[in-house]
Amino acid sequence: MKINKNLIKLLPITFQKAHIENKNNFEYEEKYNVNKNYHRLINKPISKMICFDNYEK
Amino acid sequence: MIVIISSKFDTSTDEVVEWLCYYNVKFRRFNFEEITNLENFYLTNDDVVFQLGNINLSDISVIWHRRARLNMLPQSLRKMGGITDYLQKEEDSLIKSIEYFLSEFTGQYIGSFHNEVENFKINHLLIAKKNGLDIPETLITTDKKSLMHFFNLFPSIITKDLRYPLSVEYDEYKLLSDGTFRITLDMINNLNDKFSPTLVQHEINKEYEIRIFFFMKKLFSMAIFSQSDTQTEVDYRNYNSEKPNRNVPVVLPKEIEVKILKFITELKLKTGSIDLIYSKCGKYYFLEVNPMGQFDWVSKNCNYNIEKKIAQHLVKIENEN
Repeated sequence: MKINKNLIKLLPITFQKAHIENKNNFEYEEKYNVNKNYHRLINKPISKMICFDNYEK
Repeated sequence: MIVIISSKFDTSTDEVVEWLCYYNVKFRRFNFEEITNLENFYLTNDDVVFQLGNINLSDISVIWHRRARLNMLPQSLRKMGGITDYLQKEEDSLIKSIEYFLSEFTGQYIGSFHNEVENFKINHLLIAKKNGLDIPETLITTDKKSLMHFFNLFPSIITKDLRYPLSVEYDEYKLLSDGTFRITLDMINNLNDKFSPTLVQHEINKEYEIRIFFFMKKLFSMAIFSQSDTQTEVDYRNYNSEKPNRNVPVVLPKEIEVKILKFITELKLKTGSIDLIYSKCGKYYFLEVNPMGQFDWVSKNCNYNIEKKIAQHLVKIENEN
């Protein structure tokens, strides 16, 4: 599943603050070394499954 | 017999059930997490035979549909992709028909899965307005120019999902919406000239928010002082669990209560929750209605004892039957 820069421009504006949550928060924190259990969609592309191609990195 | 449809994790249902035990009435609770057996929904030209979980139709006095819905699909069919989607749509259709049939036959069906899934926010705004309630100015658009024009009309605008919060699941991840939030110029600039339908509203400068739980035309209203917390100032549902908002009982003006009751009646809702804003200008604005909203926090914060009142209503119907 990929949501790239061009696609996000077409999505409802609610997607601009959507976030990705790992189903296992503990693993997520270890793996990505972040403080919170989610990252903002457009700021931090982090998922193996959902890539936001070079969008606002 | 009182029939309850809920989730096994719903504490409000647990509390109502405790009261039903106290009043010593017959009830049966169906939980979404368990598979319910439908023995008969048998339509003939003369009669309809209905038997669910070994309960006959003639034994049912009232149905309180608190949360979720009946679940009839075997667990092993729940991860089959497109086939599961198809089966769930078929099941949804059946559930809606059962709800329709039981409502018609018993006349005592409180709550509704149908209303929950058909929760069209725009319709609700139109019906609220029709019944004399003020609503925030709202634009639904797919056009950048229109959005920019709306953005320039007000000091601040917000957006939220049109119907359901975004929630898409993958194997390891969930993609979730962030609730209601303020729109910035950067966000608008990020969009193409044409984009997917988007709802935006004028952000009301609020004194406090109001959550109303209603049950059989009784309103239980609670003021939520969300304005002074940056996390909750746009929407109290962006909950601050470390420092919760102050919640107190509030008395609505009679005129607003009458308009809300007219709104509920037009939507044929017997229970649910409504969100309002009381603005700094002293006006009440309707935001949205949730046909299966939570009421535990309204009950506890305001000492309304809603669980007991629901139980008493169900017991009264059962005893009259």
